[in-house]
Amino acid sequence: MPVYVQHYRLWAGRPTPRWLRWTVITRYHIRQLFAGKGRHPLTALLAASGLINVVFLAFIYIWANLDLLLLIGMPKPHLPKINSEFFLYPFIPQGFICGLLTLMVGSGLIADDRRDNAIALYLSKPLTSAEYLLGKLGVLAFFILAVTAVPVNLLFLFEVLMHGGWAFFKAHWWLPLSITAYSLVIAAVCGSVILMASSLVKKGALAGVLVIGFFVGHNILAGILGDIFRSRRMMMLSLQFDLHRLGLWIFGVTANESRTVRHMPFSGPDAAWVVLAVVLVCSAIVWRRIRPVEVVK
Amino acid sequence: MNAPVVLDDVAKWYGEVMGINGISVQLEPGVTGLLGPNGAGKSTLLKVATGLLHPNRGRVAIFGCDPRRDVEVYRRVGFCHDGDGFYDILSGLDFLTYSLRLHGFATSRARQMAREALELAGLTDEARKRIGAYSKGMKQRLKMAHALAHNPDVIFLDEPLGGMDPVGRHRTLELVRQWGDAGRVVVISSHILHEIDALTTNIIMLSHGRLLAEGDIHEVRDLLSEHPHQIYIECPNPRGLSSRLIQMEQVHKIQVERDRPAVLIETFQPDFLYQQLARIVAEEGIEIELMTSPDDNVQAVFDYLTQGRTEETM
Repeated sequence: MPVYVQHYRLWAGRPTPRWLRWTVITRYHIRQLFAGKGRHPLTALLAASGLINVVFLAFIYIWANLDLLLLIGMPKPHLPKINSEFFLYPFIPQGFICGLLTLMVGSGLIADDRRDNAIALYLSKPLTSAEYLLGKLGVLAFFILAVTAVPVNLLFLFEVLMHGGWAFFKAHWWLPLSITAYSLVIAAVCGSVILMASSLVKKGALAGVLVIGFFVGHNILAGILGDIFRSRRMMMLSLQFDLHRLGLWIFGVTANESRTVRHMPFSGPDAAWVVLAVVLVCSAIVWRRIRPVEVVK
Repeated sequence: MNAPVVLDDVAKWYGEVMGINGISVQLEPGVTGLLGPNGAGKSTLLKVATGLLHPNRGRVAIFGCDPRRDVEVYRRVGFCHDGDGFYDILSGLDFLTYSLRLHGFATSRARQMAREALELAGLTDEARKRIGAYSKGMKQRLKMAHALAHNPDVIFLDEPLGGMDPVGRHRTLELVRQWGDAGRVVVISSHILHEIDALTTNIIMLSHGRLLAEGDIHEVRDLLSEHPHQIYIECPNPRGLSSRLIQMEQVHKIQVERDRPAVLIETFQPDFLYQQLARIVAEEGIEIELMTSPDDNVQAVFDYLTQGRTEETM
């Protein structure tokens, strides 16, 4: 029986809980983003997102103080009504910000690891491929939720406070859930599309080009097919339309309340199926691409 | 009792190209040298053993767990792979801290362990330097630090000495020896055989993806019965010694060296001949300055095993 010199001891402390280990990846990337060269455009985008929220904040403030404004002789402004659809409006300009954030933050998430052969670095740790992807997706979700769920929920809170009493809250108590759910849908769509593109190439910039091409290309395709078949249902092939329709559904906006819903040629569940299909296909591609060792045959 | 690392009839193909085939080995505590020429399948074997590559056939178990299914086992495994897998923008210290955080260590503890690993690898002075500015040898040492930072029980090192200067090589081999002495399972692959020779007698030899030999190098040598053992003796009177030895039937061949006072003996019964030599030397007062077995080493065994199998010289 050999005798071994035991001059080391395993660490006896408690490791990070397994279900939280993916957050190490998310936190690392967020820190790197704010430490790197891209921090200025990133901050500018977040600031622009903040300005958009200020505009909606002003709408709520004006509605809350409309009587006062009329009293001092100001003309009645043409502002959107504060109802459930109102809280979907910030998502339209924020959607553009989300797109830019997706390109800026997400394009290198996997591509850089593939370029640096760093995927093996993660997968030779107590981390599964799913946790690795969750960690990467978490980076994007952090930024997307920061410009959607967080400010729009704060807008809702502001409206509740400005409304006086609990009437608005009682009538729309489910809105925070809708806002959060819709933000998560946007994060899932943006995340799955950009991670798919990022997993296909070894340069982040190329992944960005792929995503832009995907969004421009499929919208053009939807338009062409709509013309050929003379059917507005072809709009269903456009992810932006699907997301907007899905938003209207999640926010409970009915055809009676909104002209937009009346003009949409397909239902919310239809849009949900398309969005789900896109997320699943993209996720399946990413899943196949995440390999610790690249085999060159 | 099961060995800490078990590979059972493992095979891996890359399309129609065979990486490894029919490999069954059990890795015990201590240092094991994984040897073979380029393309022999050393890196493939290590990647399969660590679960980074999925074998087409066979079973891999580390402490009884399949590393592809039970990733917690990676807390006990360190791997220094052949390629660079770094984030060049990070410092060595930040890289190792991040890596240890992924292992589940708390930030402060990870920082401390990263410093200790860098010190072991001789990179204390370069700890805060960006990895992008590291030399090839420094990156190799960082890879070693990365493999050992979390105090694993099993360490796989794929060509860890490439690009290192002689001091770095010596330091690394010393580290590897210490890990083996500490009871860890250390597998080190190399095609520089004399370095492995100096490190361990326990070897796995591969050629063209197949297992040539496994076990103690001397036992493997003894099994190569078709090749006579060589004994090299330096003495003031090589001709006298030769004339005495040639009478023994155990001596297969004897050759007096031209350029130095030495004889090279070949025998199929080395143990018996060693006994006889000792007797002759004692009885006849023959002076011997040096006695070695030039073909009882990794290089010779490898050459015997691969004769006619590979054109590539080591």
